Amino acid sequence: MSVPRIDRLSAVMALPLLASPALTAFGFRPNRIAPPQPRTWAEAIGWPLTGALLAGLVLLAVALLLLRRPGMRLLLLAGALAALVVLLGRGAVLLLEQAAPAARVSPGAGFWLAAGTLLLLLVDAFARMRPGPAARAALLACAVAGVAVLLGSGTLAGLSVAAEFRVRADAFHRATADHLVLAFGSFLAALVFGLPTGLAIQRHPGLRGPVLNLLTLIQTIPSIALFGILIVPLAWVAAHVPGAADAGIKGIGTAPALIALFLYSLLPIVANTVAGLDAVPRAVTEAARGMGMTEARRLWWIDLPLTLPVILAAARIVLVQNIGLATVGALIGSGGYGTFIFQGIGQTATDLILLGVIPTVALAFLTSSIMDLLIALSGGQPQ
Amino acid sequence: MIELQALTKTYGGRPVVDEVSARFARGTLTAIVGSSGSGKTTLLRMINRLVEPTSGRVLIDGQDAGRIPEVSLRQGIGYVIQGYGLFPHWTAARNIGVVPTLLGWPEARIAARVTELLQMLQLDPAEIAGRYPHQLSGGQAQRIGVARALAARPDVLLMDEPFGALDPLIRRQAQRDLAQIRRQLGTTIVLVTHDMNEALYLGDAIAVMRHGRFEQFDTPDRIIRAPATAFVADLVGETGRALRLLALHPVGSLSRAGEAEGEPVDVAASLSDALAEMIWTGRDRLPVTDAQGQRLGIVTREDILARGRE
Amino acid sequence: MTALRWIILIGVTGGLILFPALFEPLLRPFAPAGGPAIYDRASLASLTVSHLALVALAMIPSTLIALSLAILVTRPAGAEFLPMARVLANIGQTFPPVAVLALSVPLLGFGARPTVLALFLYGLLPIFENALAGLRAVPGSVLLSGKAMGMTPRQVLAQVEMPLALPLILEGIRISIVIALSTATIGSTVAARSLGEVIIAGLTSNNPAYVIQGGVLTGCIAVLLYDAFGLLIEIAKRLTGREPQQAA
Ligand SMILES: Nc1ncnc2c1ncn2[C@@H]1O[C@H](COP(=O)(O)OP(=O)(O)OP(=O)(O)O)[C@@H](O)[C@H]1O
Ligand SMILES: [Mg+2]
Repeated sequence: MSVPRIDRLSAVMALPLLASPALTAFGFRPNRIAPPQPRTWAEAIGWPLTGALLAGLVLLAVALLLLRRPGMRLLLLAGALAALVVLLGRGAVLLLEQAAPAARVSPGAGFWLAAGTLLLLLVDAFARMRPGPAARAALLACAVAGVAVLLGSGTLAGLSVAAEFRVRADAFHRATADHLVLAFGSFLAALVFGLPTGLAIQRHPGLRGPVLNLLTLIQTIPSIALFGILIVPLAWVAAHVPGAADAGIKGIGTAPALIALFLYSLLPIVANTVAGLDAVPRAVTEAARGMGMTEARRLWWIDLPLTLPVILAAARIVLVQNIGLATVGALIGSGGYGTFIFQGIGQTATDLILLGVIPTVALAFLTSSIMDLLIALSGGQPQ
Repeated sequence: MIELQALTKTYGGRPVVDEVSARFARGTLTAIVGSSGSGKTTLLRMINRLVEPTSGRVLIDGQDAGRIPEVSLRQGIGYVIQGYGLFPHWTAARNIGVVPTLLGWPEARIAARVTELLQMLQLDPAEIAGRYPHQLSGGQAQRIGVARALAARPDVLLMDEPFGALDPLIRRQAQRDLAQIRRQLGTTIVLVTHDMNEALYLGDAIAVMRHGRFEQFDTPDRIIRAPATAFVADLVGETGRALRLLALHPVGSLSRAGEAEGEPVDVAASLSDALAEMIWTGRDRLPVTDAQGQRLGIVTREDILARGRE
Repeated sequence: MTALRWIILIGVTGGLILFPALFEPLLRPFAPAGGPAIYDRASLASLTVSHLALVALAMIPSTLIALSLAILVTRPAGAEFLPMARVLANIGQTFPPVAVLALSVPLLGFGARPTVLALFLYGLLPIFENALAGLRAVPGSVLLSGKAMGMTPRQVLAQVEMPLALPLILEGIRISIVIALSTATIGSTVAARSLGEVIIAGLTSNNPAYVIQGGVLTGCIAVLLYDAFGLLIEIAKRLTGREPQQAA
């Protein structure tokens, strides 16, 4: 028997975990845009529950230091995180009960620190299990189901972001639709255009340099600049091409945002397609030709399947990038979650900013997790 | 039969294959030997038109290969590529079945053919069929490459250094297997190799290639006995020439009536093997038996030595 | 071709900054009737300077910290933190720069400070990832021979690992700078002084001439810095004895 060795990562991570109760657990605001006043756990949920929380954190820290089996750690951390979130919801409700109807409660630095630390440890434990695609799919499904249950059950209904959401449910659904159209629509268009382009320039090496240079140039242009510059020609098109305006093309709005995101998407897709095709072993190509496959056969049976992981990797990059950049589209009136973010900045309303940021990040994270899974299933290396 | 007529390939004005004319008879194995860069692969690829000749032509059974549509020409010619070129995303079975699939064979027939080939190449179908190329050893991958080339029963088989990457022991086994398959199938084979011993062991005819030309195109026996140029002589090697010659001929060719003691030698074994056995066991005559163990006669040391001096 | 590119980029950038009036005739058709064609609320030169200052203020600490972290997790003592660092980097990628910017405002108020914080945080990731990739790509045999020749770990790091990883590290800084230039533009929505101001003013006052000059100027600066870093990377590759590669 060896002496149990202390887990170093846990030793470091235990510090923020144990320090978190000392920071403000909640921010309490008399109304939506007033500056937050700090509230401790004890002020919100009372001493008995707070005592339980503190004891729980200490026990958790000790357990983490000694427990090295990732599976056990995973379960333990998931339980702790769930408990913390339930306490958060409970505290918000209790604080609001004593306050005026316009009052709002949001999580404070102490909560974020504890939750963030737990989440990191959780992901780390999962990574240490070296999970296969099936386990990753299962965890992803569990996480999505967990979040859905959490949102559906109303546990967190007391939080200010939830209040903000209730006021703007319609606008939120519209923003979701717009955001999805912007991010995924531009991606699909880039795929339809980028794959053949990649194939073409891989077969004609003379085109490779110029095309990739041009796409790199586009990718370098700051997003607002590209969005803005596109307004000018599109306004001209709307004014001068018959039917264009009826088709929804305007100087501002969805059209320039879609086009800008499409242009940004091209480089990863084209460059990865070319790199993937380049990586098909010569002997494989020769063998395929040698046994009498036609060009089209070779493309569908050999080149594309072998290039798929690299193309999926590009898709992951592009989707995450587009989901983030689509927020900028709000500045030129294309809708999407960015609308809330920029309105929120304008009103210094943190809740409104969060109403835009949280779904954006969640969407990006979910998409990248799903893409990672697909990449693993297609035989490539996930990031 | 394959006939090359003044076959030439130039790259940037430099001839890589230079007006080569030759005939490879039906059902024979022709080994093309030469140093690296001498144009062996290029020559081989002009037969299935992976490389288009600059001039000259290839006739297959009298038909100009340049007039057969590329795709159907290649589907009728087996090709074992340097480095195997197995499709990494397909199982061994699917790799083997690819040409039959291209030809539109029904599934059941393809499956049966795959099993048959795996068995012929001493691979256990239950174990190997479902494996991906990265799960195969070098020797197994090589055999899958051969099986894939043979799948649609081609009349012609082109092999580009099929044993190049194998270790000596597996290599010997693979060569033996090929010699046996060849006897069963009667396919016309053109095999490219660096290795003169391999060429001598497997070839009915040997073409020694240098700077894009055939320096000598002859039987193994003549290549050893009468090298046409210093280069050929060098490849064969001055020393041990007699032993190499003996290695080409079976014991059966010198078998005669008589009695001898001790362990018999197989009628198909080479004369050099028989001689080695005599030296090792201190005998000067060995009984000869056939594969069934039936006594056929004897072979004597004097006869073998006389043959080696011829 | 490349020379032409440099001449155009430097010409347009320098011209717009120093002699914006020269571009008046070109921009006039896009300006609303009677409205100004050249941004007049601040000089393009001063906006450029403060734009670049935002980027520099953020990128210097970003580079230092990201590099230190990458070095730390590739040492034996930090190895246990490597999986966590990669997970963090992976999650961090899904945070769009705008989100980081927006979330800095409640913490730091309006102005340059939230912008610099956002640029700093978002700049860490590409540099860390590339430095990590560069350090991990150094072949084990090379490290071993360094050790075998009696180099201390510190010497191996300074004389072997860092030079070999340098091109990739520079590549990471290049990516971060391009992102930072772009995010600094958005910084003007939180009242940081940057060239984004010109574009946003154009959008809100319906003056395409502003949008074009702001867009072209930021675009040119970004491409200029991108190309300049490309040169640096080529030089680094040559100094560390590797073939200059075709930029892709
Ligand atoms: N596509 C090509 N373009 C230009 N030169 C070529 C091309 N293919 C082959 N060559 C040149 O032709 C010569 C013969 O090549 P080939 O591949 O036929 O040699 P080889 O005898 O098979 O050599 P090895 O034993 O190394 O496989 C070499 O010098 C090679 O560089
Ligand atoms: Mg060759």
